[in-house]
Amino acid sequence: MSLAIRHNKRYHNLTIFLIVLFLLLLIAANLAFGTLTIPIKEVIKTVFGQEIDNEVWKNVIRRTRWPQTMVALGAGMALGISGLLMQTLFRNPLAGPSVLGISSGASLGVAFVILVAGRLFHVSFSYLDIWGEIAIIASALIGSMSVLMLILVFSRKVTGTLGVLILGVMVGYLANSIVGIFKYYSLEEDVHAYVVWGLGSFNRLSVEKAKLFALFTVVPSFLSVFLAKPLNLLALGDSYAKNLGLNIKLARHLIISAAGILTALVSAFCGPIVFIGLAVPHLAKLTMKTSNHFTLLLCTGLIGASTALLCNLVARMPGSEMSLPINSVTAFVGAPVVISVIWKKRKGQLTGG
Amino acid sequence: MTKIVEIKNLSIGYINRKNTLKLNSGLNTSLHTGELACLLGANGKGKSTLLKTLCKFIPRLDGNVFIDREPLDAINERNMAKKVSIVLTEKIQVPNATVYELVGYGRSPYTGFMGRLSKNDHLEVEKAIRQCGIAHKKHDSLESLSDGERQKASIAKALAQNTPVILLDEPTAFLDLPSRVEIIKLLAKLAKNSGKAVLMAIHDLDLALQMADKLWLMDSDNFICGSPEDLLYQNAFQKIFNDTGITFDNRSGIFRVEYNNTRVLPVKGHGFEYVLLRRAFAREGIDLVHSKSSVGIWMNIIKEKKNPFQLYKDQSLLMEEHSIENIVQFTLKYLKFEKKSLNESCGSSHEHYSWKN
Repeated sequence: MSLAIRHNKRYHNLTIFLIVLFLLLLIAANLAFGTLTIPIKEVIKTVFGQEIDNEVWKNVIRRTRWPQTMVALGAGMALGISGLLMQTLFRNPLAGPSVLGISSGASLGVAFVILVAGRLFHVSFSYLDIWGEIAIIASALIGSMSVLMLILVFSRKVTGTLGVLILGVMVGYLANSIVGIFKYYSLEEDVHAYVVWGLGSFNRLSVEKAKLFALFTVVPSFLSVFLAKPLNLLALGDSYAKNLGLNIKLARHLIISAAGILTALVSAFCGPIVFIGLAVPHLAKLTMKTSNHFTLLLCTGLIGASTALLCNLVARMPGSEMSLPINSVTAFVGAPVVISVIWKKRKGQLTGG
Repeated sequence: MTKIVEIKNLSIGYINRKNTLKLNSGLNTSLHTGELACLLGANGKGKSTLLKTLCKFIPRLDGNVFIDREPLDAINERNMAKKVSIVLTEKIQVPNATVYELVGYGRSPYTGFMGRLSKNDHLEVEKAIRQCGIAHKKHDSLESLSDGERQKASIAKALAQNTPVILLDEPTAFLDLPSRVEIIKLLAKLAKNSGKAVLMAIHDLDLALQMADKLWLMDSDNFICGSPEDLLYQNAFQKIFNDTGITFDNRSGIFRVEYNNTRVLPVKGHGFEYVLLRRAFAREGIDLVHSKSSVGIWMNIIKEKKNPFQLYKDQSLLMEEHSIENIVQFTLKYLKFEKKSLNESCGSSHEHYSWKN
C-alpha cells in the first residue's frame, strides 16, 4: 500500500472521528437547549442514568427532548442514506428520496385519512389522539409502500434507470394532484391538520415509539454498508457493472427497496421531511472526496443524523417560546447545498453525482 | 499462441418482443493469446453488437462462441467477469473517483462481499496502473485527467480484472491523433508482453493496418479475417469498402477518397510533385493525365527549377509557381475565364481541356 493511500485513510478516519464528535455535541445540545436551558453536567448525568434533583429538568429531558433527539437522529440517518442510494443508482446528483414518489405516496395516504376518511365517517382525525396518530402512520406506510411496490414491478419490466426515475416523478405529480382535489373539498380545519403534518416534525412520538423508530432506522442504515460494493460498481455505469460480474437486477432491487423502506418509515412517523435526503449525500461527498461507498455511506449516515439534529435545534429556537416547522429549517440548510452543487457543476455537464 | 476465443457460425443482432433484427450471420473466426485484433467496418454493420455479444451483454441469435474452450452459455456471470473485460467508448464518469479507486473496482470479481482489496489486489492494481503508464497520476481524480489519460485508466481497470480477453469498443474515438497512436501502441504492447488477447473496434484504418496482428473486416454480407498483409494481398479491402466512395491503393496501403471528377488536365512530369499536384486538383474536380502533347492547356513539372509548376497554353507559358495552391487557383481561374470567352465567341474552336464522358 502506498503512502498516499495510507495518508488518505488517515484523513478519512480523522474526518469520521470529527463528525462523530460533532454528532455527540449536537445530541448533548439537543438535550440541553430549548425553551428551558439545562446545564450540560445535568444532561450527562441523566443520559447515564444517574438521578438528578430537578424533577422538571429530568422530565423535560426524558419525556420530550430524549425521544425527539432519537427520532431526529434516526430520521436524518435514514434520509441521508436513502438519498445517497438513489443518487448513485440513478447516477443523478439531484435524485433524492422524494424523487421516487415515495414521500408523495405517504402524503397521499395521510391526505386520504385526514381529509377523506374523516368526512366519510364523520370524525375529525385531528381530534382523535392515539387512534388518529396510528391511522396516520399506517396510512403513510401503506401509501409509500404501495408506490415502492409499483416502482419495483416497473423496474423489472424496464431496462435502465431513467424510466424508473420518470415513473417516480410522475407518481409524485399524480399523488399531489389527487391531494389537491382532496384539499379542495375538505373542511378548513382538516386541511390545516394536513398542512401541519406536511411540515414535518420530530416530536410526534412518545418515548417508547421513539426508541422503536430509532431502532428501525439506525439499524437498517448501518446495514446499508453491505450495499457498498454493488453501489461502487453501479456508479461505473450498468455495462461496466455487468462486466465486473454484478447481478444488476438484484442489486437494483435491493437498493430501491432499502431506499424506499427507509424513506417510507421516516415519512410515516415524521411527515415528508424535505431536502435532507438530497443535500446530505453531497456534504458527505464534499468532505470525503472518495467514490468508495463504504466510506460514503458511513459518512452520509453520520452527517445526516447531525444535520437533522442541527435543524431540530434551530427549529426549536432555544431561549424563545416559539418554534419553527422542521421543513422550513431543512430547506434553509438544503437549498444552499443544492445551489452550490449546481454552481460547481456549471463548467461540466450535469450528469453523474 | 493458444486459441482463446472461438466464434462458430455466429449470428448477431437484437431481439425484442416483436421482431428480430439480424445484423450479421455466419461469422467464423478465432482470437489467440498475445494477439491484437482490430475490428473494422462502417457504422451500423455490427461491430459493437459483436463485442456486446462476446461479453454476454446481449444474447446471440445463432451459432456459438467458445471462450477458453467453454461455450458462452456455460459460463456464469461471475466467471465471465474473470474471462472477458471491456472498455467502452464513453468516458467513465464517477464523481470523486481517483484513478486508483477506479482501477481497484476492476478487482471486484476477486474481492469478497464488501469489496475490500487484499494485499494481492493492491499489488495487481499497482501493476495495472504502471503498465498503462499513468503511475504518476494514480491519486488524481478522474475529472482532472485528459481524455487520453482517462482512457488509459479505463484500460488499467480492464487489466486489473485480469482476464485473458480484453474487448475495446472504439477506445480512441474521442482522442487526438498522438493519443490514439499511444493507446494502440499500449494495447499492442499488452498483447505482446502480457499475452492478452485484445479485440478492438476501431475506425483508424491506417493505424490498424500498421499495428494489428489480425484484422476482422465486417460488412453486411462479408466477414473477412486475417493478417493485414494477407488481406492486402487478397484485395479484401476492395470487397468491404465497395460503393463507399473510397478506393484502396493496394501498393501504398492507403485509402483514397474517390472523386467523381469529370474533367482532365494533361500534364508532363512525374514524381512526388506530380502526386501532390494530382491530389490538389482532384479536390477541385479535375483529374491529371500524363500526356506528351503540347496542345491546349497543359501543366509542366520541372523539379530542378525554382518554380517547378508551370501552366502552358499551347507553346506559351501562362504562369509559373512554386506554391501548389497558387498554381491550382490560377489554373481554375484561367479555365473559367477561357470558357467564358469561348462562350462569348460562340464556341468557335474546340475546348482545350476535354470533358470525360
